Amino acid sequence: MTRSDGIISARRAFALAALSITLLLAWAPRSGSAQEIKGQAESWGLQNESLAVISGKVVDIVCELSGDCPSGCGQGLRQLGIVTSAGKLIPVSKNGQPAFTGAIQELFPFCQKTVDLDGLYAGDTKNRLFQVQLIRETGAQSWIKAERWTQEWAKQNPSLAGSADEWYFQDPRIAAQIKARGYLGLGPGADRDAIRDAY
Amino acid sequence: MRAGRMRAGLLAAMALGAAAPACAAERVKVTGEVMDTWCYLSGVMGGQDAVVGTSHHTCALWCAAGGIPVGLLGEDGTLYLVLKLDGRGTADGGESVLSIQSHKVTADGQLYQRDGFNYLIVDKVVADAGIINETHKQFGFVPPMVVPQTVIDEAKK
Repeated sequence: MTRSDGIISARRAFALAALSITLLLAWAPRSGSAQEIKGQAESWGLQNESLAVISGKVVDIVCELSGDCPSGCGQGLRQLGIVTSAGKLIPVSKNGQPAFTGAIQELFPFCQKTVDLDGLYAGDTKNRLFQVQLIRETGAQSWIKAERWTQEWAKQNPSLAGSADEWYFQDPRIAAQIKARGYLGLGPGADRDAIRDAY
Repeated sequence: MRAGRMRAGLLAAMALGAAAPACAAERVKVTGEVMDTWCYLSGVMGGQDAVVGTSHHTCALWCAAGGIPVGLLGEDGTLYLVLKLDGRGTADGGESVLSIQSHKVTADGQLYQRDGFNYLIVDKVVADAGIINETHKQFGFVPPMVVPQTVIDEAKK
């Protein structure tokens, strides 16, 4: 090997080292990012379930998609999700309570803030929804259980607050629907035979 | 020098990726069943056939009132998350959502597709055939707890 060959090899080695460092810098997770957070969420044994900690800005999904953006993330009327640092929109559909409850009340206090969500994905081969079990503003140390929904329902229904854990049996909106259309939705008269057959 | 250029290119590409443009809406008419997305997708109540129609009607009311996204399951099996109905958000389980739960409807609205999901802003329900998917004949009530014991006892008298 001549001296000039040696110089060229050294330059190539230097360039390769520089490229490696560049790639590491470009793709290495930043300190405090979701990739470094150890999740505490529990399995629910759901279809195609995977536990995950995700981070992003809390958004009103309608606003994010269409530009129709009322103040305060829609004041509880709109579905919420997060947009990750990579620009991915993830709808957050379920909270941590086994009580037929969504995630709006959990995300709403963090509207437009960046949060960490500890929970799970579940779904079929086409769509997987995210369930949040724990939430915190990114950078905060302590997690908050995503179980506010029934508390908020109790505030809205003070005379029924004692039954908030089983709110679905007491909720006036649901009671009105069942009274008018029955448990099957076919009218109250259709329920009797079906109940006799089923129970 | 070459590595520096490459790094700049990579960072520029990453920046472009982070600033994903808003997706365009497509005007659509979709016919399908208004349903509960969480039970359907998660499998928490069993197979997908059992958590649509009459068998799951009451549970679908519960989930819609609880703020879980309402879906429209198209006749071709495509699932749409319904974000607005008649100009109002669907997240609070309002009357307009509950009154058509489990119904077969034709919805006219704006379709947005992003990151694998179909999102529907329904401007108007142009046809409502009511509840026609009588799944209770095969599956009973799903979950069985939807009917209180007092109601069961009364029906059996």
